[in-house]
Amino acid sequence: MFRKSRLLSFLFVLVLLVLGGWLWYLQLDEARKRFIQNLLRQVPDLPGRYVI
Amino acid sequence: MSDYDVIVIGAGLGGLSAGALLARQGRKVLVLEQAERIGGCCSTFERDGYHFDVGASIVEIIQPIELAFRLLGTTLQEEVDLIPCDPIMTFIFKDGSRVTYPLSVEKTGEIIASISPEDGQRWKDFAAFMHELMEVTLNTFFIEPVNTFGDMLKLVKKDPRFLKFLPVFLSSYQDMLQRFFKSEKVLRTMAYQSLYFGFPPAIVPGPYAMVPYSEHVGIYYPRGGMIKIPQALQRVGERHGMELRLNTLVAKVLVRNGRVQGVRLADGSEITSRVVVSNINARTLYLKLIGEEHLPQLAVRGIKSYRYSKGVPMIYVGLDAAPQLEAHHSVIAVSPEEVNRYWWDNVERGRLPEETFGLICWPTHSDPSLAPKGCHVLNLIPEAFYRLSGSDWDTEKPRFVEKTLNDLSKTAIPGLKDHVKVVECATPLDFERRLLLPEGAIYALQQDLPAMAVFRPSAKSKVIQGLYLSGSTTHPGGGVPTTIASGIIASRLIERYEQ
Repeated sequence: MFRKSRLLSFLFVLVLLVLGGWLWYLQLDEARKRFIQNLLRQVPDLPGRYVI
Repeated sequence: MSDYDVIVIGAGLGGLSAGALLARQGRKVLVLEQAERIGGCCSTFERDGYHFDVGASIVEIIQPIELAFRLLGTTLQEEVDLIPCDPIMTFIFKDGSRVTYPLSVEKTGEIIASISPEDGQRWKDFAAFMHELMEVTLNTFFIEPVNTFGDMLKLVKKDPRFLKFLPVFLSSYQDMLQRFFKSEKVLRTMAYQSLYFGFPPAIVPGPYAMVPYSEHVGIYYPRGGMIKIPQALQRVGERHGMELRLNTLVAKVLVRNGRVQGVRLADGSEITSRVVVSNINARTLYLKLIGEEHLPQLAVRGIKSYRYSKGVPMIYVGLDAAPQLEAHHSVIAVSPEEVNRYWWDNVERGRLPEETFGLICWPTHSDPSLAPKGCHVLNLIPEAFYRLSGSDWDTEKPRFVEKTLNDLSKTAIPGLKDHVKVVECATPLDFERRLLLPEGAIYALQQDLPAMAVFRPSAKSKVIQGLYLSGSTTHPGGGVPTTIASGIIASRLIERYEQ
């Protein structure tokens, strides 16, 4: 019971963070959105780049 | 017993500075260059009495270059006759009006204040902020290896103020400019310079927004042409025993049991060494000269994930009269949004821009000896790129040159076409063929945040023992002072790790 409520709290905070992040992103101007998009698009490449 | 202690592939600025510094350490060094000239993009050639710079057009932020020559037991001033450029830049607006910034920070502030009093005041804040950022990064980021997160921590230890500027690395060039300036016209005098780093203002990392300030710390032109800098490095390196071979193409880097053994030349001959410094594009190095079979899978994915940096065409023009310009450099003024739009509407779609914009270099303004008496040299860098949709540069080149000269004759350089005596053009495809720069990429690889510092190919290879990188392909990236700094970094790493 205790574990279930902790999990729910965790999920609730996670959803709030994602929602907050999304709302923050939506209010950015086009240039800042491009900057963020460019970073996020390349996140999967970073481990490979780090080992070169 | 190896033939040499160190083989350097490529006699660009990074390769020559690394080679000279390693020779100074007492190592037997051989530099191999595939072209007939040294310097790569920082070079000069002659046509009918006119001397044209291949690519790089001035020197600024000279501290790393001074450091390299000091480490070589001499001084930059002793080896290269640097002419200070003042004024530094003219901005030509679409209506034909012009603004010229002098070297003086104070006088530039007055000019900005005449456009926008608020921005004139903010210029002082901008200059103070960028001065400190420059001081901190020149003492840390630009001259130290940044191969691992541990190296990053060492930068903070060396100068704790580095932490204060970390948020700047997480913002864009455009963010930094707009944090200080509001006037559209003032922003138009600072937006274009983001393309010096190969991306529009929305993508270039924030620290590079120091350039509109750093130009006022001093920009210089080497008397006799940009080739005087690599020639000085060659001369000093040879004094310390460095050997240089031109017209010598390296076909393979020999690797056994994860360690370099030397190189195989295009003619099939082999030269052995325990250490190789590569000054060529890291993608070419790892994927062609070394081969995927010597690399872990993750590293192959990493190296393939890089995009090449931008390539630009150069138009070299010899004139029989002085052009109607005011400074060594002039720029067709564009707003940050216009540069961003150009990037996504033109570069990404392979469509050449309808309106010509870019950098106009007038080297004979600083050094008249580059042209016959009374004549002048212009190096034009109209913005364009490697991949053209539905066409190619061999087809487009004549039309592109004609259009550029016509467009510039209208407002930027009235009467230009009437005085042209010599004209040549090197397209990104020509740079690929002549200098072996893939896609004509002048900065080798993309220069955005996910390809900087620890995420740029490491100066000390993490996958091949005895392999080191210099040049724009590794930290701290493309540019005259930065590639020389990469040579300093490579030589220091070799001194530390290769006894």
